[in-house]
Amino acid sequence: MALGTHNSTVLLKRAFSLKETTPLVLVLDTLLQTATSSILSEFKQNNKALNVIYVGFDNVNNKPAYSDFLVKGFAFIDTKGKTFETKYGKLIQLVNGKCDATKHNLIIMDNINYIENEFILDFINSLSSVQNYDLANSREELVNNKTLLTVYHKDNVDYEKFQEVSNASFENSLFPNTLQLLTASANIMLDINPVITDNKFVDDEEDVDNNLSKFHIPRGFNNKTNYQLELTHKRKSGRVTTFKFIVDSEKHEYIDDTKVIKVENPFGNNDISEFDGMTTFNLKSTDKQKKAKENVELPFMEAQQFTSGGAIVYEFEKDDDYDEEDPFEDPF
Amino acid sequence: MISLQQNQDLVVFSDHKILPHIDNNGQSIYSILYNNGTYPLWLINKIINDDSENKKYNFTISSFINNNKFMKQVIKTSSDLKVDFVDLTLSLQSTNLPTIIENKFKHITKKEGNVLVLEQPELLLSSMENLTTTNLFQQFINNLLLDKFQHLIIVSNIDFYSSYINSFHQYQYTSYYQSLQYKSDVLFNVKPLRTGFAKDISGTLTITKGGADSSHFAGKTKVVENEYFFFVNKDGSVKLFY
Repeated sequence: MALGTHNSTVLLKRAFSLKETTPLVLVLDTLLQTATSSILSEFKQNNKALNVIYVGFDNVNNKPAYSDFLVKGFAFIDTKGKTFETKYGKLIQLVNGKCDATKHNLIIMDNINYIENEFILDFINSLSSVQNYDLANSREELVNNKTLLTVYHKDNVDYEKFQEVSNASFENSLFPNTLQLLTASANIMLDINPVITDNKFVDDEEDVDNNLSKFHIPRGFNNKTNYQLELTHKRKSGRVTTFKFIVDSEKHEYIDDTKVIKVENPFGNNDISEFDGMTTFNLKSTDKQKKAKENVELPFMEAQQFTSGGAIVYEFEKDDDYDEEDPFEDPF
Repeated sequence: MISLQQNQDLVVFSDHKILPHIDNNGQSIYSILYNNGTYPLWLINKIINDDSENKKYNFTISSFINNNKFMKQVIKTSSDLKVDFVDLTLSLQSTNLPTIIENKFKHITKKEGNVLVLEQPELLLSSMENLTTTNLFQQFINNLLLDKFQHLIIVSNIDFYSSYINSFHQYQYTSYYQSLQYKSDVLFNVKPLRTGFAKDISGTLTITKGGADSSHFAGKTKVVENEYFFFVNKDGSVKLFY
């Protein structure tokens, strides 16, 4: 059973207000549509009770309007540290200290590309839900008031192996890259892209690629009011659903775009308006006619019900001669 | 022909300002990106001189590629502006980023109203062994913004950008320029003329909004995205037009 389109917006709002349990929310953005300037504001908007802690690496001093605390991430990293604990221990402690026990906490890590590939999993584990050992009842208790959100810039995914100097051993090993680690951990992924067709300053995608290859950023991008969002939701059962939306972060409107993307017939979406005035026939059908058409029960529908199995029934008739030998029998 | 074109003022924000107005703890980053042959000294001069409230700011000009003697010659400001020059050309020999800040910017004790024009910090990626973009930002540029400067104008040559990466250095350069786009509030792209050469146009200047969150700007000021033609006269004066 496919989910109805009305459910998709509900799911998106649940994702934004952090009602869906996930160890990690992954936001994928690009040069032309950055998460900081668009989608990150939706979380606080949808759940005003959230305590949002923004760990800034890209942003040093400006506390975004959608956050409650700004942690200057880079200032608390010991660059000489060799292990995860010595390098990031102070930062983790600081962020955890900002968490409010009475509220749900959202920790925004902007962006995760600053953390080395080998430390990604440690980082996620130490900032997402904590396991507290309850002495009185001697059982592990999952404190579930924290959600980690990481922003990942997907511009250089293919070349990530060149990220570190000591990549010689990494290149040969089969250790997964950062994006693979993140997508495996996240149950909610929000992939944002600009809507290129609506930008009057560029012709098409090729034109954009052409400009970007010279690092000439065209006008009209990083648009807060009109961008595309792809929501991937992984359920406990293992089922993965994907929806597409067009989002307006100023009015906080989400329009389901899945229908437009899924092409149901080979001639495009059932839009025949392009034939207007070109034929003498009436190609259109009214809503009433469409409904009537859908309700007609077609004769082969009954045949689709396989209740009797697929046995071949042969009845011997009077003119048939019964042959002992099978002409198609294997001679050997 | 050119005399017919109306000279345009450089406008960055919707309130006709060039330099941003932000509260005392905020920061802003401008990136000026150019290709070989369009070295945008005129634009730096324009940003410093043309803002109507430029006397409120303290300017510092630092370059990794040109020494102080040259910069003092080419950056022409009116005498009532506070402009300081810090030569960073020799810092390319440095092996430690924090010491550059310690040695060169020791005299700056508070950051309010300080503007730094920083030319080609990306050269450090080549000069300093094993330096990554991450470290360049974390240990140098972010620290400058932390307690020395409020506004940063980074001037970079984008000829090192490559969309196909084949080495450690190429990756660092490419991700450096990309980081600039993510961090910047405003991007100035100075491009040569596509057709090569014309008598009355030198190139185009595109002003685009960067990727940073813009909610920190006072009021509802927004970046006005625009594309100008520019023409550099023989005497160095520059004309902007549509």
